Amino acid sequence: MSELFTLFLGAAIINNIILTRFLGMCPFLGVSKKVDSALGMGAAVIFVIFVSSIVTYTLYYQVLEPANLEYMDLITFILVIAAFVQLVEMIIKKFSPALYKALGIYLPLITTNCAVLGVALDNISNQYNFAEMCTYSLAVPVGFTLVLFIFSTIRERLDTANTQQSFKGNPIALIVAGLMALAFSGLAGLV
Amino acid sequence: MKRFDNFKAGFINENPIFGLYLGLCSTLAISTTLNNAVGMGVAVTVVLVMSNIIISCIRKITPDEIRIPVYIVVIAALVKIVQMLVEAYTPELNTALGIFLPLIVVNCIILGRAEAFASKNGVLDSLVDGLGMGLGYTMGLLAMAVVRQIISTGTLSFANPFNTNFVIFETTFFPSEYAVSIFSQPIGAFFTFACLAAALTAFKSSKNKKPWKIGGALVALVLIAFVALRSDFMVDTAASETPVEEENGSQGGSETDLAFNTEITNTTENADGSVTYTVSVDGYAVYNHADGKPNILDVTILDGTVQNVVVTEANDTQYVGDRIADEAFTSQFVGMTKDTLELEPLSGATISSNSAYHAVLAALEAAE
Repeated sequence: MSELFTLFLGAAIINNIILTRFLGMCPFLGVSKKVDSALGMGAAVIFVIFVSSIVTYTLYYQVLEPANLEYMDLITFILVIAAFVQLVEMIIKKFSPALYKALGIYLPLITTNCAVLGVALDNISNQYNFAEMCTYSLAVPVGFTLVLFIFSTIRERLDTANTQQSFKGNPIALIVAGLMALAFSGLAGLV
Repeated sequence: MKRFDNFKAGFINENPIFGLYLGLCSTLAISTTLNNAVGMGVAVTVVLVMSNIIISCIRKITPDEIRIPVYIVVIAALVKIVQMLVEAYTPELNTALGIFLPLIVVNCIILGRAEAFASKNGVLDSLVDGLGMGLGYTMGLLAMAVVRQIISTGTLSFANPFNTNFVIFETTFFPSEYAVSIFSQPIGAFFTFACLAAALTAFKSSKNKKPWKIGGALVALVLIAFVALRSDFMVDTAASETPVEEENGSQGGSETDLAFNTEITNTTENADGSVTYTVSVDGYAVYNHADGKPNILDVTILDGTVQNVVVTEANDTQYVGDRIADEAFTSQFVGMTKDTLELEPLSGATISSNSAYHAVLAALEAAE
């Protein structure tokens, strides 16, 4: 149980997927301009990563590996993820049109979010058992949401700051992200 | 000319990394060294060009509703092929790129160009567009890698990807004591990227482009001059490995071929019933020096179990083999019987360690 807890802590905060592994940068820069859309995106990503990880993990170990088709992992994983994101998009459109409008293009772009495919591939390459896989797949998007939320609160203030002309927009946001990465790197070696 | 304009646009004006902010994940993670940047850039360019060609060929027969999954399958298949080739022919690059090689599938550049260009234009136009974008991506990666590698290690080096022992050039810009190693960390990646992106924005929006071009040419010239004048070319690092320490049986035959003659020179009965055997065993010194003396150990045994081992004379190489006299080494034998006797040799002192092992074994056999 304690290994699962340290795995959760490690994946969510210490080896944070955005700040140390650089996966999930596109929504990080695109959606983080407002706190509400950031939280909505985070919730969608938690749902997508958790469920698609379970599906891809099961698919790999029950179908691909017994049939000696491990090299098909990329194609099957990405198709599962694409289909699932389409499903989530339809659900959000039905139940929360405001969130759907706020997320805009970034909702279908969760398909090309490195974090989703990255977690699916990690579960295989780290050879997790089912419990570890579930913990990891929950921890990573929770860490992603946490950092996205913090970043969006900073960014709301950043837009009104007096920045040098060529740094306005994404460059200064990336410098802030770098400072956050520096802060989080102080936690390295905790577990 | 439109084709060529499109090709040129991928380099500066519509640079996928610094202009369009696509494919950030891999850029920030990979650009630590020149080798990684070139490897990744080539991989992405190959996939981009091939996927543009294929998608342009099938653009008229793919139904509009399922075009995105179709493109994704094409790209995933190509990436898997590239991944398997990289794994086979350049394994060090495979380890360095890690998860980012399969993650080329979700690299926004490739799907973005497929959607925006290849699905609407002919094969040759798509090929040129893919080449321009891919080379622009590689240029961006190279820019970041050059900055990060120079600042974080003080050197700029490029090794043959197929045989990384063979370094094609290695330039030392400044001694590594002054290197800011934090630039190989995430903070360095973000910072370098932000500055380069801001520089590109400033260049694009400046009215007088001439000072930029002069400055850029100057920087490139200084870099090339440094590399040409101050680097080592064609260094083969495999040949310069440190020779294996002599103690490790390089004198012909492994330590198990040696006889390790033992001789029990004294037996003392102690008050608590245990017996101390003074064992003289041939060690490294005996086998390698004409006047080498054996090691002498006092092994105390009670009821077939080792109680204590003391090395009274350690005559092997000073600071190397004579470390068997340390309690940290001899204490491993305490509690062992003849059946459980096992050796954990000292690193760099295999023969001396084995001599001690044989001494304890001889004492245990004598106790029976």
